[in-house]
Amino acid sequence: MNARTWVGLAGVVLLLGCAILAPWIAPYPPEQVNLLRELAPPGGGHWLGTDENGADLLSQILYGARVAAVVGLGTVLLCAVVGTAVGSVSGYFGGAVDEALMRVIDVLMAFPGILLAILLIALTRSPSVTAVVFALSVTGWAGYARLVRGQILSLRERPFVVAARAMGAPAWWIIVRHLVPNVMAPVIVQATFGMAAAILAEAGLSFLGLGPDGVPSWGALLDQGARYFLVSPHLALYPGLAIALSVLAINLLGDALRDAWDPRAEH
Amino acid sequence: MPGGMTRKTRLALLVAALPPASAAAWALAHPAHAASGWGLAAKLAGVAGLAFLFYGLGWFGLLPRFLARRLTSLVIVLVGASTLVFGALRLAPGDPVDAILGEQAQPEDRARVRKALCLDEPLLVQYNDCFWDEVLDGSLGKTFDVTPRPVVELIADNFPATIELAIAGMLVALLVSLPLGIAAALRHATWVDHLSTAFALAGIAIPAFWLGPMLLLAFTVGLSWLPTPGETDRPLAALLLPAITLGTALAAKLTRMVRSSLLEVLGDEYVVTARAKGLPERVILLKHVLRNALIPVVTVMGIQFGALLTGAIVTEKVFARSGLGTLLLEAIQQRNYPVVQGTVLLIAALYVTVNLMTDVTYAVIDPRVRLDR
Repeated sequence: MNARTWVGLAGVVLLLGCAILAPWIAPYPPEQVNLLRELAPPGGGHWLGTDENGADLLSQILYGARVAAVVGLGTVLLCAVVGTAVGSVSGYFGGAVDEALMRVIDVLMAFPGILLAILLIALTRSPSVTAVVFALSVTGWAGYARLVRGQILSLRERPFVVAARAMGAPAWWIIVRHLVPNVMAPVIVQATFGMAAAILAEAGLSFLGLGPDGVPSWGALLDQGARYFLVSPHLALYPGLAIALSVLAINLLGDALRDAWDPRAEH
Repeated sequence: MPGGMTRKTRLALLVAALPPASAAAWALAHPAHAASGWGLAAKLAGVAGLAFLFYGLGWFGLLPRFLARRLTSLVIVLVGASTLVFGALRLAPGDPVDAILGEQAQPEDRARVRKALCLDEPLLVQYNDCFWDEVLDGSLGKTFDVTPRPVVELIADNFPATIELAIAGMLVALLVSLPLGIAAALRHATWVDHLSTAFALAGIAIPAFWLGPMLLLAFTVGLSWLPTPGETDRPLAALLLPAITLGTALAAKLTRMVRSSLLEVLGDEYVVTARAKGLPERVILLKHVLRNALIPVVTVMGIQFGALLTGAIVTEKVFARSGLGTLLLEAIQQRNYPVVQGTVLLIAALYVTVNLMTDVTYAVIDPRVRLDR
């Protein structure tokens, strides 16, 4: 493992650590208002300063890691599971089922996903984290389905699959037991990059005022902070750093996984 | 290529025949809405016919097959994407009338709004009479205001600003990524290469809605070099920061692309041959290497132009610029559904069409693509 992999891994562990441990390591409750300390600069009991209500920015960012992690993991999990299921059925059975599913996937992949997410969230009165995950997954699974289908097509006539079929194994067993484990490596690589993209997308939605309601999301913190950035630039600076560093770390990890599992892949 | 029908062709025929047939069946079962039902059947038949026309032209060799296939799928994808937009607005949880008027509204007001939004009709009638008729007559519906205007007028007012921003973003991306990517490949494993890799990693990770405010802080507030958002007397200078904000992520992706594509071509045998026969490096680079290495870059550029259109939504908000993004966000806040629907529809249609044009361009500059499709 090279230095970049270690940096990536450390970053991801840090992100997940903050997300899990937020209630214990955050110095203040994230929503605790202190009108005597509005827009305080970093220092003096508030490492990263306070926002316009005097709430501690570090605590909000730590809790924001939860939203980022849940949306990131939730979205890729949902997309990967649905995409793998659809892609393997499509690739294994072929024929009319395959044709029909592929046309649906064409449409979904041609549609700008973030736009559909904006549309769906805009229609939801007070979007929850789950709603955001669903909105990001509506088009997100299509890429996984196409990837898995391609892999399955090249696997389904391989001797171990033919042998399983000859022994009378049912189709679902062959798919679950023999095919899916063999396509997991590229799916995990894609899921890693997908998680970074989902975190960016959630932050973007929150920045536009379309994020999950009632939780401190990094994008929403940045949106709030940008309004005060002439007097308190730290309010926009740190949430943005949190987003950028998380995405960077996850992408580095993705690069490392791809290099490890697919030596032909180039940077 | 005429000949016996393949299984795929038969299937395509069947699939294409399904919508008109089911629409006709529906119209017969619901005589009250038969008129609009037949209208829908006619439209669906028209769409299927158009898709078939392209498919057939390719089949008989009257259009290049790759182009015919792309045009066929363009028709299908455009209809599918529009239906997705229609479905999202109608099937999303919650009543749009509640969202517009609040839950305490008078029943007569609710009925009025429901009628104006065409929500009092069955779904299929909404789809045909309200959605497709508005798309086909080019108005994209009427704004939901005191004085309704065709949505298309609002879009036309805001469209140039967004296109201007997207093109400027693309220019920034090209101006950064081409020199940086080429330098990184030619000076492989030197500090230039490391710099380009660092830029590529950072550019993808840094969100535009963070980069924008930071650039404003540095160049407008700190150094006072560039105009503040909203100032209109220096339009080109005012476009610079938004263009950098929008173009950075694309510049990062393209730098990576240019570098890896160039490295691959530099190792090819014909480049070694060109060197061996003593061609000057400049000629090898310009005539042999770049021409081949930039082909995949063109594809990525095209696909990403669509992404720039959606990225413009965020950038417009950061810099308080007018444009489709600002129009969309305002419409969302005011629950002006026809405007939301029209704007999303237009951006999606542009996105899909630009992707098609990219595919075709790719096939024109790289004949190999035509052979294997």
